[in-house]
Amino acid sequence: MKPVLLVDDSPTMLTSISNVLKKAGIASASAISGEAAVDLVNGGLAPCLIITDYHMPGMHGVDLIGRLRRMAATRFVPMLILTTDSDGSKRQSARAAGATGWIVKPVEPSALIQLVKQLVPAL
Amino acid sequence: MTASTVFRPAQRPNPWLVAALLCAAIAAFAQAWLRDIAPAALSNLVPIAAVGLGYALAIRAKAGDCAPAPQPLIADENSATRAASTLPDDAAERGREIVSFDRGESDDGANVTQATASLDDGIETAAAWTAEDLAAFRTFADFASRQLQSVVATTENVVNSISSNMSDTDCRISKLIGFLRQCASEDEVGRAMKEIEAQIEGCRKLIEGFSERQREDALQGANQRAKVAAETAAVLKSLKGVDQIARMTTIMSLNVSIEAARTGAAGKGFMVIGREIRELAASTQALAAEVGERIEALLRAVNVDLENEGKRRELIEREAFEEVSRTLGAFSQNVYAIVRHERKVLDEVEHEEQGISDSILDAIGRLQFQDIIRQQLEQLEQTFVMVDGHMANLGAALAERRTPSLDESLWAKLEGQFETYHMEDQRVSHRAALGQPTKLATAPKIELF
Repeated sequence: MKPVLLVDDSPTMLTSISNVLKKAGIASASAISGEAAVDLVNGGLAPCLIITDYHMPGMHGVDLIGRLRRMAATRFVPMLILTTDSDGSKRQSARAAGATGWIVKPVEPSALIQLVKQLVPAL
Repeated sequence: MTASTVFRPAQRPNPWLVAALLCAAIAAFAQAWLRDIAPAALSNLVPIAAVGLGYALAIRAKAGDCAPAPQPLIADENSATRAASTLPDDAAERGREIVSFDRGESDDGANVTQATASLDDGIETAAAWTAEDLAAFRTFADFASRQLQSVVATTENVVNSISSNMSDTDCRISKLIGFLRQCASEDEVGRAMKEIEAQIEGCRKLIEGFSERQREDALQGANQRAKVAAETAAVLKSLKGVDQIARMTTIMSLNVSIEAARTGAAGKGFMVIGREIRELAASTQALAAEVGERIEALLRAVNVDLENEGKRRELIEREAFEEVSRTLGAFSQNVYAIVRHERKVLDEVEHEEQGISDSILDAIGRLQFQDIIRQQLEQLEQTFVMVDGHMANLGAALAERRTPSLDESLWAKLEGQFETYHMEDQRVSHRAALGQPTKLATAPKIELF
């Protein structure tokens, strides 16, 4: 089963979300930055879903989505932004870049699992 | 600031301006008055004459002959005395006080001068202290920044530890539940119950076997006793035959004795024989009777005592077997009760396991708080850095007694912080601190495009 790719500059968030998915029987892979996520995909990782933070040092979430949309392995993969930001203009820019959805932290674990299974029914 | 600045003479009006205005007014009036009643030449001549008159007045005023120059209200003590002579007594006294005060000659004037000097010294000292404190603010800001970073690091470590422990706990609970399910599975319980039932059935069969053998033993015993009785009866019958023979032998011995007596002396031997035969017969009869009595006694012992003993033991064993059978039945009931209880416990555990799992899942999700706190603390640290820079600039300017070079005020910078916020809570707090409306945004927390 293809894993969910988690991208966040906070190790705590990566640990928390990966454990939530693990509890639901969903495998995941983690990247501490946008650049690391791109390296993983270039290295052969084929995620079924990508969940990324917005504000990260270097490549931020919207840039990452734009980059991944241009890569063959992730062109059609659902991509979610998981962020503390509730700004409407940033939401629209993410949508324009190709994001599938926007989630404001903190997210209820049950709601996140339900959303993941909705986007990837095979999980 | 001195007292002399309070009593400044009033400014003199421009004499040229006054004169011109006066003449213009006269000319306008005259022309309007004469226009209708006098020839045009005359009406035009009047304004010319008025202008000339105003010029002459202005020249005179400038020369000092027209209006006197305004004098200081009180120039010196002499003038004050002269002025005071025309004033009421208390006003005159106040006037003299004002002059001496203005010159610093009175006690009050000296006090004001001294107070002004003290005020200047105080302001200088306050400026120096403020500059020093603003410089110290940098250290405070650095300390606060380090503390904030320490909080972030500490919470991150704790969250990682908690997350690890909770994952471990969740795994252990899942393993335990799996073990309980396996133990209480239908296959396991069914197999165990079948074994128990088979064992109980085996015990029942053993008991039934024991009972059957007991009945057979009892029957065999009865048969044995009957056989013994029959043999005994046959023996007794034989003994009766022996007794009959003994009696016949006695009769024969009597006949022998009789015949011996008839024979006379030659029959004495036969008399003895006859007597011996009678004694023998009597002994035989007695022995037969004794044997018969013993056999009857033996028969009684076999038929009565043994039979009673057998019945008693049979009863005891039967009761024991029945007790064992009842115990086995109760054991079987208890086993079923234990299985039902185990099933009930497993159902309750499975029900609670879902609740425990949900609680653990919720707790793992709550650990996201650390990331939110981190972002808020980083924002706070950036604010500290901004304020620190601003205060350092102010402190340096104050220390050098110069105007600070600031691109914008601290208020403007704090207002600018609003655009750097990510979270709605931060925006609400900012507005609340400034007394502005705190309406929350209504955007959904989860949105699919």
